[in-house]
Amino acid sequence: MDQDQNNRSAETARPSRKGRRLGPSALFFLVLAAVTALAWCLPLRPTVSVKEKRELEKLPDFSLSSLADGSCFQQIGLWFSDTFPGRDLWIRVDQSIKRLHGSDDVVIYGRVEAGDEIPPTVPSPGTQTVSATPEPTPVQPETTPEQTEAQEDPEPVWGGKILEDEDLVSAGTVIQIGDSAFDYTGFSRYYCDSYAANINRAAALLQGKCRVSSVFVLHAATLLLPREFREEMGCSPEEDVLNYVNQQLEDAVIGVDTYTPLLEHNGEYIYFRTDHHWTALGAWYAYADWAEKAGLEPVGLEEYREVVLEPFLGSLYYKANQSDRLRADSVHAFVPPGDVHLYINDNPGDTPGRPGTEYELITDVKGTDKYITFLLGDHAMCTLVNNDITDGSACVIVKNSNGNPFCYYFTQHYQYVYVLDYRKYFSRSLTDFVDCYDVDDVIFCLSAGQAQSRGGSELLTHIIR
Amino acid sequence: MVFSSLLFLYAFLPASLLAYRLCRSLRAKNLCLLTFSLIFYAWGEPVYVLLLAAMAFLDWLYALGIDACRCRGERGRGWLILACVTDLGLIGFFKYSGMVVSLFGNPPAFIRQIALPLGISFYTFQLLTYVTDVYRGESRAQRRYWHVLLYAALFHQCVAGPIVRYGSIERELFEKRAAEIPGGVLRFALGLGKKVLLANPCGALADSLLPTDPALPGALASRSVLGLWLGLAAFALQIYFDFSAYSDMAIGMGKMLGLHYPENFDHPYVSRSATEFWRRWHMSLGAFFRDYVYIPLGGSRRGSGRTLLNLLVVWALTGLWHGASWNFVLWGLYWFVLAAAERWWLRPAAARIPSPVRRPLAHVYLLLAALLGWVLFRYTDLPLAGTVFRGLFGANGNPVTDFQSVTEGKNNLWLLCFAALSATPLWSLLLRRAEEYSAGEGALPGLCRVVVYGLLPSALLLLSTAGLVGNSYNPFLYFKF
Repeated sequence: MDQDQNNRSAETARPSRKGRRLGPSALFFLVLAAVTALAWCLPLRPTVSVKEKRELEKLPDFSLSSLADGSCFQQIGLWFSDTFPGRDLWIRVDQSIKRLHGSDDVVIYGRVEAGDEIPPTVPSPGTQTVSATPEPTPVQPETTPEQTEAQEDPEPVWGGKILEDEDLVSAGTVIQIGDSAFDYTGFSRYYCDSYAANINRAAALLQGKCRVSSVFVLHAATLLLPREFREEMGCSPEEDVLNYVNQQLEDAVIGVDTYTPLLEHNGEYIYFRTDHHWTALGAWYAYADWAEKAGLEPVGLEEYREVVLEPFLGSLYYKANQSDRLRADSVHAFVPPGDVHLYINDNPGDTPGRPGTEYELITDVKGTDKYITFLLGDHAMCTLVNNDITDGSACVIVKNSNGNPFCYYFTQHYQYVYVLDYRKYFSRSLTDFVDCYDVDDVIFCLSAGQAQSRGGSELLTHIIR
Repeated sequence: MVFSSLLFLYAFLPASLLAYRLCRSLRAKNLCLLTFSLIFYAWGEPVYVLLLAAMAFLDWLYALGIDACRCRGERGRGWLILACVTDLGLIGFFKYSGMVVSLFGNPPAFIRQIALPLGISFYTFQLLTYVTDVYRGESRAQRRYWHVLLYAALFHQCVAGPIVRYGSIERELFEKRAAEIPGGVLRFALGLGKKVLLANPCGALADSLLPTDPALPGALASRSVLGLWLGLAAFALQIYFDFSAYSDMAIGMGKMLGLHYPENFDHPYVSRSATEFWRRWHMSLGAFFRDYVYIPLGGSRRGSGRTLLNLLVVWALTGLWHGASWNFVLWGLYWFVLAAAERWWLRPAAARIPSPVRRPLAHVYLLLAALLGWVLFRYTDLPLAGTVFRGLFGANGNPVTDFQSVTEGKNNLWLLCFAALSATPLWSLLLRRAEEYSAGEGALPGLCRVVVYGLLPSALLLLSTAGLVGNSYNPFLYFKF
């Protein structure tokens, strides 16, 4: 009998019944089978993540080379994980697990790096050039391949180069404190010098034609967190950065104070909890400071019609790994009084007088990305026309997305408010635009993060000519 | 493909288990295993599957050559030497050519472009054990080439160990195997949980506090003492859970099929000496060097001088095995110094200290030694390693604490405590008790069985899935060794 069993075992290997029995492990295989079936329900696989604002990985195109080097297999693996059915639910479960790791009252997302030291003294306006600092400090994120190309190419071709806000707005590190998230703030002396030099160059180029203003938009942390705490965190004090920049501006340039007026109202809803932008209210305080310095009477918000849109989950929510500690925002938009119209033109071309397609001033968009209610997001050129003003007055706002809620307030002073997203508008140079559209005021409205980025600096240099 | 990937869990694993289950004969099961192993290997390195097959082929021929010599009454030493030259030559070419050439200047482009084939350090050693065991007469030479290929390519352990000696698995592979499905499932799930729920978050913390980017010497130099020690502790936990988890998963999958692989880790951080640490850490590698290098060199039987030399060779090779970089050689030599100091100096000196004091002191000594050793292991850039060493003792002018370190410490306090506890034998003991209890008859042991073999693995699988869907951080440190 034993001999017989041994002979048979050599070929058929019959393990003991006890070992072969699944027993309670059947539950494991049941779960494995169920999730496997779920994973292979291809129609259940998402293709887009609304929350993360991105297209999910796709199955690769097969080629002999991708098969040989294994890249197509890696891509299949990425696709399989990235488009896993029910990914949002799995991510929530994962977050719940992570909450057990320790206290999540304050969480840092990303790497903290020190910025440059902010110089206590400033060269007198008119004499300074871009800092001789040969290399920018590493406080900004990596440049995109497009930017690298642009840097390497002595004659860069600018058309179609688009920089996303989220890529450049800050050093990329985020701190979540309670229900709010904040960008870390850094300081790059090289790019601050470069920014100030660019604005001064614009003023020189446009001298006698129009005024130039600079709105250097600070991060929420600067306005909402105590300085000592920010310094302990490793942030550069941005109020000093603003001073450093504004003190370098020529006298002819209006340097808007984006710190003091907002600080006086930092108990109000001037910055979003989950997004890197200021709110329309925060933008209004900066506008009021500009208006005063420009010799105009700011139009109070009570004149506007307030529209509240919610819920809004902004970029910091995603940088903070969609932490459920963060409280969703609401977007308060202020519809300007009067016969005001919004035109959007993504391909403005060279021909003036074609403002583009008309849209609602404030649009309630689906989903949680409510910030694009302002100007429907970032476009090459938007035109706000106030038909109640007929004097042909015009201003141009050269901006990144912080300019979107900001530009509406200018409709009360100008018949035409041209809004150029300097990351997307490549049709004309600024001087050409001013001449062509008979502009009275040029206002630069850039976030401190983007103003201090290599891509932002290069694009600004490009448009100011 | 790594075990802790969704594609493996929900495509490869179920498909391979199902196909294996449908096979009736051992031959069919083995062919099924070989097919899936080659697919698994080719998934990551399609071209290098040919190298694996070629090395297995050559070693199959060499073993047959030894066998033929033995029939003629010869030992076949030439075949063994040929096998060593071939296997070590190939691993040397693919893994160390860049390092060696860099001694004489900048390596040319074609050398820099040589990619390290997946798992070559593991399967080369396994093939060497095969030829050596045949040479020693401990195993028979395989007549079928695909049997040798199956042994070398077996996906459970091909790319990350444990290093399974041919003699220890031969019978189960080709004659008789008895599956232990519940035990295998539990072991696999524990490994998966260790990797995803402990190693990955510890790794993320280590990367945050202990960056390896050579562009950041300033950031590293200004990192606080607390931050560096926390980062180092997190890295120590990561590397232990990472590697031992992979071994657990391999052992678990093997058990499910009736293949018993050697244990690879035995709670190394509870050791009280460097020698003990290495008896508990990567045990299959230690056993390989002991049996195939140290003892053949004479071990400790030829006097102190020769023993010291033998230890030096083994530790240098251990370091070098871990990577083609000088920091790994230094890391190996670091352990050699500790092991040698313990053997000839520390142990006799420690014997004079009363036991109640000596034991905790020994634990502290080993933990410190292991942690400092990991600095050499983590930093291929030696000046960065120097910065960390200085920073650990505040010699960079760095603060004792800083905001980031305190914050990240608070964020991960329970994780670190749980991970540290899990690095002790506590859970293993509890689990063993539960397993013993559940082997009994009655309702309560039955319930215990359901919990231990059903609910616990299922929960770990689901939680790990959540961790894998939600995280892009899923490195495997030992994957390229």
